[in-house]
Amino acid sequence: MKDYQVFLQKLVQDRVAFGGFLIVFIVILVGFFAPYLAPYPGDVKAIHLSERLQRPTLKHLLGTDDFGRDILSRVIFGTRVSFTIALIAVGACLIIGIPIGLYAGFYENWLSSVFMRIGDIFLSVPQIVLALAFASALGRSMPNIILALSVTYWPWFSGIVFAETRKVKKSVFIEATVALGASSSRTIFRHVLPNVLSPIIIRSTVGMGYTILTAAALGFIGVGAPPPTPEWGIAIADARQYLPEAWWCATFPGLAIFLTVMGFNMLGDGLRDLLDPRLKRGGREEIKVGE
Amino acid sequence: MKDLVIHFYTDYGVVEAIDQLNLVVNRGEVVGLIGESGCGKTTTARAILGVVPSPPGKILEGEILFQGQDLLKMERRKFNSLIRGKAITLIPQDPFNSFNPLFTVGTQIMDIVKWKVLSSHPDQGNRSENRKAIGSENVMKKLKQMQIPFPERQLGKYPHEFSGGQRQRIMIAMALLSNPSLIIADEPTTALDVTIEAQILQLLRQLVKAFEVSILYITHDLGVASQICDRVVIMYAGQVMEIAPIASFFAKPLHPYTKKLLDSLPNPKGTITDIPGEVPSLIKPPPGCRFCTRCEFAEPKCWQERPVIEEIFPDHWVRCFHPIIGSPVLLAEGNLINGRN
Amino acid sequence: MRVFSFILGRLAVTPIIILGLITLVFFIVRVIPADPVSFIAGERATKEQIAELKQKWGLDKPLYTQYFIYLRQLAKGDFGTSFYTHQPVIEDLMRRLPATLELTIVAVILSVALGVPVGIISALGRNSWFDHLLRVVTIGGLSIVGFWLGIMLQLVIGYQLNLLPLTGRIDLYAPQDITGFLILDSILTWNGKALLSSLKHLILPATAIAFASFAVIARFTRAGVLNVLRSDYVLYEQAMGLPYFLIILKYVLRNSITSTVTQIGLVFASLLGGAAVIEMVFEWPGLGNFLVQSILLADYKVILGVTVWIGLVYIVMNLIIDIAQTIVDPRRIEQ
Repeated sequence: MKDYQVFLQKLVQDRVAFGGFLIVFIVILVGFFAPYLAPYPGDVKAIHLSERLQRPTLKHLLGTDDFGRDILSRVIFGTRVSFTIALIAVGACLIIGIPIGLYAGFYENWLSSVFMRIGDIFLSVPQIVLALAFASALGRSMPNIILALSVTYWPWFSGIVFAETRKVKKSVFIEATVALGASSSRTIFRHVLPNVLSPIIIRSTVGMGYTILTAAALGFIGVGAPPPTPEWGIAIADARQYLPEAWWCATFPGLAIFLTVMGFNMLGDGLRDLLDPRLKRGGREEIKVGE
Repeated sequence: MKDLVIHFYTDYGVVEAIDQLNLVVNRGEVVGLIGESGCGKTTTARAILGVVPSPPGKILEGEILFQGQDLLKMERRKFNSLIRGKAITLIPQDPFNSFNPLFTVGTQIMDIVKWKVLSSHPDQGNRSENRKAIGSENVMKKLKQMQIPFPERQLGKYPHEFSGGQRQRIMIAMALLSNPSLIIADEPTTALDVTIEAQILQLLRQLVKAFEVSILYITHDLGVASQICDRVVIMYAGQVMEIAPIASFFAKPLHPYTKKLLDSLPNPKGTITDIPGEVPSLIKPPPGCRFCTRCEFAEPKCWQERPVIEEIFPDHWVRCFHPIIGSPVLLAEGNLINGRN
Repeated sequence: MRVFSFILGRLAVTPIIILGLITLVFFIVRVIPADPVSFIAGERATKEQIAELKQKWGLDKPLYTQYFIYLRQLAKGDFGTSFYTHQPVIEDLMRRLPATLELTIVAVILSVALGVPVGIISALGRNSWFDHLLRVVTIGGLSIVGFWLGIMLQLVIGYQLNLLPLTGRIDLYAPQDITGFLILDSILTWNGKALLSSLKHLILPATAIAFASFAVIARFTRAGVLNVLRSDYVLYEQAMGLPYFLIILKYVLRNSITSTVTQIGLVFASLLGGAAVIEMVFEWPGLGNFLVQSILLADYKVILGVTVWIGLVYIVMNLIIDIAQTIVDPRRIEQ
C-alpha cells in the first residue's frame, strides 16, 4: 500500500482524529454559511430590547442576550470571528516563524543568535500576558487582536523549525549533500523542509485551537474586538452580570469555544500520532497492567 | 527450535518474517546464526527470550524446546524466573543503550545477582547480608575474569563513564553470573573496534571452554564466525538455508547464497563480487525458496516449492534444489580464516 | 566541571533576555493611548494641573529618557509607584503574590496528584479502554476554557448546589497574617474555621485551573513512560528476567520522572501569569487580577512591574529546570 493510502486509512481508523476532523470541518462550514444557518442573521448588529434575556425557547433555541439578540445566531457568527482571527494569526506566525527558524537553524552566525534571543524574550512570559499588554496598547479592533496574537505566538513556530533544522543539519547526510556541492537553499528546500513539515502541521492545528482560546480570553477581559462583534469571549463577559438567572447567555458561547478548540486538538492529536513516528503508540509485549 | 513461524502484522501488510525455522544448539557448543541485516536473526533470538514486540509480531507455529520443555507453552511466571536471565541469558548488541543510564552499573549488576542468582543459591538460609556479600564476591570475581581492572571501584560508576569495550565486558560478566546453560549473543562485537572485537572474541572462547556454556552467536560477519563458532546456521529472508560445522562450511559451501557470501569476502586479488538483486519483500514472499529471485540456478520450481532441508555431508545440511556439490571450493590464500585453535 | 560551565553559559544569556523583556514591555506599554494622568486628574482638571502631574511623575520627559530612568531605578530595586494606589509597586506586588502562589501551588498539586498516576497507568495499559478514555479526557482538558469552566462551576456548584463559595479567598475570619498563605497561617494559628474557609474558597478556582494542567501532565507522563518502555535497557531488563514490578517501579519510574518534573515546573511557571483570567472570575486578589486591572487602567508602572516580575520568575524557573535536568540525567551535558 502506498504511504498516503496508509495515512488516510489510519486517519479514518483513529476515531479521535477523524472526529476532530469532522468537528473542524463542520465549524468551517458553519462559519462559511453563517448567514444562511443563523435564524436571525440581523442580530449580529440589531438590538431588540423588548426581547431581552429570554430563556431558550423554540423561537430562540439558545435564548436571547441582554440586548435581545438571538444567541444561537450570534454563536454561529462567532464562528466566523474566531476562525478568521485564528487563521490569520496562525498564518502570520507561519510566515514569520518558518523563515526565521530556517535561517537561524541553518546558519550559525550572530544573526541567528539574535533571532533566537528575540524569540526567547517573547517566550519569557506566558503568551497571554504579553498579548494582553499588546492588545490593550493597540486598542480594540479585530486587526489589532490578530496582530497581538501573531506577534506573541510566532516564536513557538520558529523554535520548532529552528530545532528541526539544526537537527537535520547535523545529520550526516546533509554533510554529504553539501560536500557534493548542493547550494544552501537547495539543501534547505529539498531536505530540511520536508522534515520540518510534520511538526509544523501539528503545531499549526493545535495552534488554531490555542489561538481561539487566547482570543476568547482577551475578549473576556475586554481588550479584544469591539462590541457588537459576536465574539464568544465578549459574549461570556457580557453575560456575567446577568448570572445566575440568565445562565444561557454564558453557557452556550463557552460551549462553542470548547467544542471548536476540542475539535482542533483532537485533529492535532491524531495527526501527531500519524505523522511523528517517534511518538508512535507502540511498545513491547508483556509490560501491561495486571501482569 | 522447531518449525517456527513468526509473522508481523503491520499497516502495510503481513510480514512473514520467519518461515519454518529449525535450529539445534547442543551443550557446550557455539552455534553461529549468520545472515544479512533484516534476515530475521534478531527476531529468532528474541523469540527464544519472549521479547518479540507483540502487537505487530506473533508466533504462529512451532516449538522452542529447551532441556525438554517447550518455552512457548511454559507458564509466564516460571519462564520469567527460571529461564530468562538464569538458564538463558543475553549479551545485547548495543552495550551503551542496554544499560539504564540513570543507575550505576553496580546497581544493575546487583539487581541481577539479587533476583537471578541468589534466589537459588545453595546457601538460601543465610541472612541477607551474607548473601549480599557472597553475591558481591561473585561479581568481583567475574569482573576480574573479564579483565576489568579494579572492579570494586567500577560498581559506583555510571554506564557512560565506561568505554565500549568495557561495557560489553561487563555485559558478558552479567550474562555469566547465573551460570546459564545458553547465552544468546546478539552481534556483541558489532558496535566495537576491531581490536577490541578480537579481545572480546578471545575472552568468549576461553569462557566457553571454562564454563561449558552454549552460545547462540548472532552475527553477519563471517570472519567473526570463523573465530568462534563450532557450527553455523545461514539464514536468508527468514529461512534457514544451510547448517554446517565451521570447517565443512568454509571448505564446501553448498547453498548458492552461501557460496556467493564467501565469494564476496574481501580477498588479496582485489576482486569484488556482489550478489545482484535485492531481498524480496516479506509481505508476499515467494512460497518456495526465498533466494530464488537472485539465484543463478533458479528454476520455476524454486519459486513454487520449498525445498526440504537435506543432509549432504556429515552434519552438513542444505535447503536447495541445486546445492553446489562438486569440487571443494579453493580458498585463495589470505582469505581470512583463522580457524579456531 | 561541565555542569558548571553549562550553568554559567545560561546565566550569561539570562540578563540579556530580561533586559530585552523590560525594553519590550516598556515600549509597548507607553504606546497605550489611554492617558493615566487624565484618568486620575479627572474630567475637570485644567491643563496646568495635568502638566503639573506629568512633571511630578516625570512623564513630560522624552521616552528614551524615561526608559533609562526606569532602568536605573530598577537596578536599585525600585519598581516605581502605582498611579492609582500610590503605593510602591513592589509592595502591591508582594501583597498580592501569596494569593496567586497559593492558588497556583494548590492547582499544581491537584494536577500532579491526579495526572502522574493516570499517565503512568495509561502508558502501562497502552491501547486499553482506559488509555483511550484518558486520551479523550486529556484532549478535553487541553481545550477547556478556564474562565468559562470557572463560571460554570460557580453556577452549578456555587449557586445551584450552594456547596462552595463563589468569590474571594476567605469569608470572615482571616487569620493572623504571618506568611500571607491563608492555609499556612490558619494552621500556624490553630484557626480551624479559617482553614476550612480558605480551603473551601480554593477548591473551585484551583479546579478550574487544574483541568488544563492535569491534562498536560498526564499526557507528558504517559509519553515519557512509553518512551522508556520502548528503550533498549528495558528490553534487556525484560529479557534477563527481572521481575516486572522491579522493572516498572524501580527503573521505568525513575527514567520517566525527568520529563514529568520538567513539565511540572513549566506548568507552574506558566500558571503564574496564565491564571489571570480565572482570578478575575473568582475575584481572587492575586497578581493576575492586579495585572489585568492595571492594564485596563493604564497604570503603566504596575504593568511593567508585574510583567517583568512574572517574566523573571518564568526565566528563573526554566533555568532551575534546565539545571536540575543536567543533574538528574548526567548524560544531558553531552547532548
